[in-house]
Amino acid sequence: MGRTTTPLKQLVYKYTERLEKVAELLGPRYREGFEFFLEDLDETISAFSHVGSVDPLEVLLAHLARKLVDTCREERR
Amino acid sequence: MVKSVEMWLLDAKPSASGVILSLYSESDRRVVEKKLDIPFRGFLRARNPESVARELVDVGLAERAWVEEWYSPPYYLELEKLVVFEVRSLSTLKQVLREGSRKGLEPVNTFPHPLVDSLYTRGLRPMTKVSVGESVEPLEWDPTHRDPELDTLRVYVDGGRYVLEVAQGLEYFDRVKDLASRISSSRYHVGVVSGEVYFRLVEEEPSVSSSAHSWIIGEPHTASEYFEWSRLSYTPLSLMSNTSIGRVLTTVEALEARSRRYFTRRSTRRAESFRSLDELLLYDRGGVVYQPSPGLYWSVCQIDFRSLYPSIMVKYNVSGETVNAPVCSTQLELDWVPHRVCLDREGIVPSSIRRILWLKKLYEDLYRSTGLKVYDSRRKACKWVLVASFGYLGYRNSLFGSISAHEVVTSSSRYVVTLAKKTAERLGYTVVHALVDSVFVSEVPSERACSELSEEIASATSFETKVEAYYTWLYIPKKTGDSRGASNRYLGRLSSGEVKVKGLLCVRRDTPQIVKKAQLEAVAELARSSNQLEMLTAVARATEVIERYIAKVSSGSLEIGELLIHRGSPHRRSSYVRPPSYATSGGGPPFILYASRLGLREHRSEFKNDVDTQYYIKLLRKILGELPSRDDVVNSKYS
Repeated sequence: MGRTTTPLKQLVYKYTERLEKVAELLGPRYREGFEFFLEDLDETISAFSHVGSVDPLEVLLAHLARKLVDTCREERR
Repeated sequence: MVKSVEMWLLDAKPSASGVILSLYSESDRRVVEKKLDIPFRGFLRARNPESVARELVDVGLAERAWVEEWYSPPYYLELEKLVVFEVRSLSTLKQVLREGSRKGLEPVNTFPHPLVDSLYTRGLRPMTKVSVGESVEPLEWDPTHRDPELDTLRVYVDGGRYVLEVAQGLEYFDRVKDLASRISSSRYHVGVVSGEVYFRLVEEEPSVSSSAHSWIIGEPHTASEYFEWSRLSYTPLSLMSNTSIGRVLTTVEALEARSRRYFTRRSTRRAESFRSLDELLLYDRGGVVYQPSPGLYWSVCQIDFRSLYPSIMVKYNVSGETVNAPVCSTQLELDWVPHRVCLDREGIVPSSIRRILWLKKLYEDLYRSTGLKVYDSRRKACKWVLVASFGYLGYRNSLFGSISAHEVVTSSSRYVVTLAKKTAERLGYTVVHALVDSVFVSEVPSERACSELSEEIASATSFETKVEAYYTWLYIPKKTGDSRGASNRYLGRLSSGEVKVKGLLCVRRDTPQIVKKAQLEAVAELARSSNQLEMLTAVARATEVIERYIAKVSSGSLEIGELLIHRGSPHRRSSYVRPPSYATSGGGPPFILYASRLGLREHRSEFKNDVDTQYYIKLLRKILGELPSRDDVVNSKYS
């Protein structure tokens, strides 16, 4: 590449590391919830590898939406 | 009248007046030298080109000088008058260019080397046959022709030992002294050796330098690869030493530019227009690289695009001077990138690599039909140039690239891989991994279905694809010290029963033999399994193999040859870092090392019994992490 920028996945992982630390401080209930939220994050990051992203929060937002869809589907069943 | 004979043009060197050609006669396997009166050309930009041309001849600096119209960089839209002159020696050429610069004239077309230009102008392609009589005339080169029958040698380091490759086969040496005396006892036409090894050899035995008529000092590629690069770029073997593949490519491009009268300037820059930060983040990126989920996958079809990046350059006419050209009548606008490509004329880059793409395909077919190694070497030579063609497009000192052209290629590749993923999903499959120009699709029921999927993807994307592999199972390990999957390391069993390994320790050059051997044995155990049940027992057997090696290392019953590691010069860094102790303790690179209790230590003839067994045990434990575990097998989706 012409310019050196931090890869998207590395930026996202920096955010998730902080999220994990916050979850630990909030107590076991939230820790589990955060763990559930971060499951399969790699898949969402991979999808962004096709289209790119201007902000790592975009990836986390899309992932949150994905998890909500999955949860709603489970609930409906 | 002298009768003409056919000989091979082996090498060329500049002389005080003209060029000395090394010509090889296959009948008596001898090299003869012949002086040829070929002039060297120089080019100058001047305000009054006609008067400069006259003056060059009047003062006796040039033999001939005249004015020609050439297209000027960066976009080659306007014609400009240049002074072109001819001299008889390289030193005179340098003198004229130096004097010219001092008088405010600008030397242009300074790349490639004037000797390459002279050979190109005369059509004398190195490593091809020529007709030798009173003069030397080129003969038509057909890429299906074989290489000359030469005595060649190649030296490289593998598994901590020096390897000498000659026509009779491979010979192994532990000490550079033995290798040097072996080489100096024979005469060769061409030798290929890395700079580090060559200097150690000459230090040990100075006569090594005259053991080969031409030494190519550089990466230890095969002689046939160097011959192909030499032919492609008209670069004689004497100029191939320390020549990077990028330089070969730039020479091919520069010669193409010269044939169209496009002149080149070292200082040419194709400036970008102002860009928003969002645009930079979205478009100035590499290809699609997934973060795959680690684990074991069954019935995986790996489909590769054939030379995807070069094919994109050719298909969309991507070149520094065609992307965002300021004046253009026919423009190509691509939905996936904010740049426009001019289609008025074929770009220098696509027209240069089009032939190399064709050659690569030809050599692939020839290798498949004849099984001759020379065609495989030539295929590799073309492949490396094609690989460099993309990298050089975005290189800041590239003569024929630009960052925008680079972005067109990467954006197009992402678009193509997106289409491939959508096609696979439309057919009900799941893409488990994507790696720039490769997609891995799981649960594809058969090889036939895999071929059909490849054809579907080719038709949807309009880029050529091939089935790279059909795996009974594919294992993606976790990254070291991480729970995430490694994107560039995997291990798979092909439907033929063979194994494909990428990035694991056993295929890395700096892994000690004992670790390589242990992992390969363990992999062979895994390769015997073709279903989930067999895999469970295979995993247990593979683990046993590694444990057996760990026990062997712990017991200390080791041979030094199994423990050796080889390292080159420590990497240069921008700031000072203390070099490892082995680098300052005597000998030079390449370093043949073993792990001692005091750290990595250079292995000389004597073997001190101070091996750090824990170092090797740690590596053996690490390779276990690169292989599937029982849990991976149990949790895998097998149908």
